[in-house]
Amino acid sequence: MKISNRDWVQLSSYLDGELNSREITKLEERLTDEPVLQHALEILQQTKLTLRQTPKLKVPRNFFLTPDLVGLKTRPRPVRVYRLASALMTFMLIGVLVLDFGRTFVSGSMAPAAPKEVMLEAVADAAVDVLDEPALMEAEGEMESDRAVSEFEAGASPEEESPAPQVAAEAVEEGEALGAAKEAESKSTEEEATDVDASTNQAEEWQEDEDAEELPVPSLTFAPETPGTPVPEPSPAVYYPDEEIHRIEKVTTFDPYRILEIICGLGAISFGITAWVIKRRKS
Amino acid sequence: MVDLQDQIKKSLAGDLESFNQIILSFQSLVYNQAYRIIGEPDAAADATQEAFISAYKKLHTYRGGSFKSWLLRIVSNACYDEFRQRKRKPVVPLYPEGDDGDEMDSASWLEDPSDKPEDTLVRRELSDAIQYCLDRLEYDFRTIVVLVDIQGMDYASAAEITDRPLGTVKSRLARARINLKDCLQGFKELLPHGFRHVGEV
Repeated sequence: MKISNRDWVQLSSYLDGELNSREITKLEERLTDEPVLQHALEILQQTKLTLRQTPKLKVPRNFFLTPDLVGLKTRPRPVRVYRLASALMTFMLIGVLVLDFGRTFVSGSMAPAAPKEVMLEAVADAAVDVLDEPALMEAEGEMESDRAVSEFEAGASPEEESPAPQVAAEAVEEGEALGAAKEAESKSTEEEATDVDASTNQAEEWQEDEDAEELPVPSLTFAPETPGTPVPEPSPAVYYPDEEIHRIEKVTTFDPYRILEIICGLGAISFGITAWVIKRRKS
Repeated sequence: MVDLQDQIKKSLAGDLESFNQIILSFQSLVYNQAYRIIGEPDAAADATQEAFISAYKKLHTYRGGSFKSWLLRIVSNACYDEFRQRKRKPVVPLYPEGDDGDEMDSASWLEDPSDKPEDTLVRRELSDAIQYCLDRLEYDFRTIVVLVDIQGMDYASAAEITDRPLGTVKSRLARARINLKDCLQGFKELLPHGFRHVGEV
């Protein structure tokens, strides 16, 4: 009896448990009735068992993948890139610093060199300012010794311009009205006293003048005070700040060395920090 | 043990080391599958490597389910490419067509007088005997019988891997077993005890 292909498929599926219950029942009935079919089933079962016992081969090698194998280009690690950039920036900074110092040593000055024309122009302007400004010259005369000299040169005596003589004269007139007899006796005495008072008042006035006129007033003439008339405030002397007197025009020039130093320094620091942050995040 | 799904996720993120761990787990399965289908160690190794490369590149197409089945499908395709590329010697089909174009039922043509099994029994182990018989199967038959009988896959998985209907898998597996049975009869001394006493049907 020959077994059909369909029977072989049924037997193969039966071995693998791939038949439904109805097919299984039907096939099992046939297997009890047909010994040839039963024998075919045994052959297939042995074949299957033989194949199941196929020894597993050892792999000849490991089949691990590498970036080159899968076409991945190995990108340089960003940490390395940033570190390298930081190092390069540092070296550039050192180089620029060396060049900068070398340049200053050659020129003989550590200060940043301004253009010579600009410096000369600034000095000339300062000199012109000093000459053109009288206040500056007056300020020079405000020293104690200078003021004494200027007063002496003006030739004005304190007695002539001081109100003290008028006060002394009034006192004398009042003395005459009181009694001529006494006047004759004490004339000499009173005149002496008047002289003393006048000199005392003069000294006080001088002191007041000094207190009131801290700032220089070129004119030393003293106008009599009249009530109701506002006394003009003495104009203070205008002092020019020293830096303004000796002002040198600052010209905003960009030194390329400074710019390079700043760029290199900032670059080195920023790249170094970035590398550190990336490494910290990875770890 | 690291979870396979976790390794897959890491591999998808570009972690090649994780995928190499997957390779370590599956390379024996993949290589044996490739060897049983191709029948040549070097070609099988090449196909295995190509399969893993392809698996890594196509890992995003894995939608869950059995990773083993997904991987064996890639291996089968890689083996087929390797099979064609190497242009192996033409395989004599187990079911040669007759003059009328129909498949011949008998497999007696398989016996080659110039290639006596007795001459090779001495130097071949059981593995070689099985491989010998497998090599004489058509590619599709071979793939299915290796998947089901050697790798232990069920029919549905075999159908999915080979991209064939379930009925086709059933019929081809049955035919492959019949012809393997006939072929293995020539290696009775190497076969299990029960196989020797099975008479011809």
